[in-house]
Amino acid sequence: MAMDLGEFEAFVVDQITRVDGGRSLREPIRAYAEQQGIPLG
Amino acid sequence: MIASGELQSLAATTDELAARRPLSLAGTPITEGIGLGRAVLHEPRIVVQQIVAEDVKTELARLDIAIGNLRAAIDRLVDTGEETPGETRDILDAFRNIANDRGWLRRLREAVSTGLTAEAAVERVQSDVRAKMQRQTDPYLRERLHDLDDLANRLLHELVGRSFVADHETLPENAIIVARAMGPAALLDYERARIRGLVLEDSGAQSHVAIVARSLGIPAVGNVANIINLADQGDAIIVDGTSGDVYVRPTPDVENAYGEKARLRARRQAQYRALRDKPSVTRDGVAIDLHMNAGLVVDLQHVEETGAVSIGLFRTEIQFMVAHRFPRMREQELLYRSIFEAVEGRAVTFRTLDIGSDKILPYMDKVEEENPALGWRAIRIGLDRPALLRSQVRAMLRAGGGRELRIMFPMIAAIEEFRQAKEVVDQEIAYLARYAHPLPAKLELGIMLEVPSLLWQLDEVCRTVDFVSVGSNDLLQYLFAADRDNTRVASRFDTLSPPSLRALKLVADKARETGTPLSLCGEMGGRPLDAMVLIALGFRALS
Repeated sequence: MAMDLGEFEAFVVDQITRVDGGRSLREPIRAYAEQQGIPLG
Repeated sequence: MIASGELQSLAATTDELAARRPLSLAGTPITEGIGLGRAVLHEPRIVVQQIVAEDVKTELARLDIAIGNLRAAIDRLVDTGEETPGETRDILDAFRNIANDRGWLRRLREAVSTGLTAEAAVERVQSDVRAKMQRQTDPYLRERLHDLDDLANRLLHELVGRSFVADHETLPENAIIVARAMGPAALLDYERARIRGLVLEDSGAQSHVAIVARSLGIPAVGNVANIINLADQGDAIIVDGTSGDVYVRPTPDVENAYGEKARLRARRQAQYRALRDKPSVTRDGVAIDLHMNAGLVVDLQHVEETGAVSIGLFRTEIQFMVAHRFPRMREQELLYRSIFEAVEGRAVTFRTLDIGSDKILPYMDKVEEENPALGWRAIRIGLDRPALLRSQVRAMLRAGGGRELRIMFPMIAAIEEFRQAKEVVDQEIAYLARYAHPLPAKLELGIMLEVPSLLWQLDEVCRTVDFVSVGSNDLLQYLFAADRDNTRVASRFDTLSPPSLRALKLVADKARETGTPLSLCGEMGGRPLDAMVLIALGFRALS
């Protein structure tokens, strides 16, 4: 699996600190990963 | 006007047609994989024709000969089992012990002495046993009933001189064995190369036959209601051991779809194999260690295939679950030694006995608890029954002599529990040193972080332990107070939501800050998106 970890890490950390606690982050994270061309198996 | 006989015949035809329609049934997954083939009904029952013996002495002699043959046949299975993985051998050994049980043999002989034929005596004794055991609600004791049924059926076959399972001539090339229940050894009687799958009506994932099926890699589904009546000999059957679905007489659409699925699976396996030797490194150069979890010796055959750097978790409880009594220290040591040998120089992290909750040992007094998942289990049992923990730790230390040994304690809720467990290890090291036993070249003691209370003891944890492995399945189910096996609540909470990710980040940050080796072990690590998020949070080892 190939990805730039730094950018992805920043995105995930931003999401978990900013987003309201009850929401699932699965879809936004998936959308980001796909947008970056990261293969999800 | 139609004669009533004709009406009956029409009705029968309609019933038969109804019974022949395609069926989709749901059960419990046992072994992953897809099997397509023809049903072979495992119905080893013999109808006893003659009840009253003509001559008691002759019947006793017949019984003795049949028991002798039965024991020899089981001995042969055990001997053949030398090539089979450790837990299958353990199961066969336990089965052999039942066959040699003096109480069972005495009851059989007593029944013959009352004037019954040997066959009728076997049935009488088995029916008494069944009556007693069916009152048991404990699934482990009910499972023992399957073992005894299997044994009684084998004995009946010996008495009437019939083969216990379909032989080479009658077994199709692509057999799906369909059984109400099976004893542990019955599956081994079939020709392995021809078995494509297994469907059980009255046995689940923790039954002995399920463990044998797993160790042989046979796709299997359990707890499929009424399957023995719904499937006919020779019916086309598809077993999906991953989803737990079973299709009897599938429509061409389903058959094609599954054929395609099986081919896709094979292709994917080939793709994974091609990736195996590639380094697991992100595009910006961060290395990720991938470890493997195992609970059976047979799992270790896949170490090479997966390219795993080590065994991140070896579940030691399986050996205890298949035994008929607590395995002796020497038996445990032999198993742990064989694990080290099977993985050739890779590190192995042994998790001490994680029993209790849904993992009950059949020979251990059952403790009635309101909330077993929150009850007397894992390290709590080990610390309250130190002889048990001591014997396991001693076995690990002896097996790990001259090697790198990692021991992990499960369900630690307070760091004090780890300190107590460590004291047991220290005592055992002192004991072995006193008798000049070789000690591990390197020994690391860690915890499985799965109880949320540890999230507020991370400073103490990281100061005290050699490594931390997050047990994400339990940690998250305890964090949300939602049973992951309860479909009503399991989907209410997502592993990729701020509460769980914030908790995991807390652990990753503290581990990084203190330089504590950290890994994560659980289903999250096996799902691509979840695994990527874990890496983003700072996890560098997944198991």
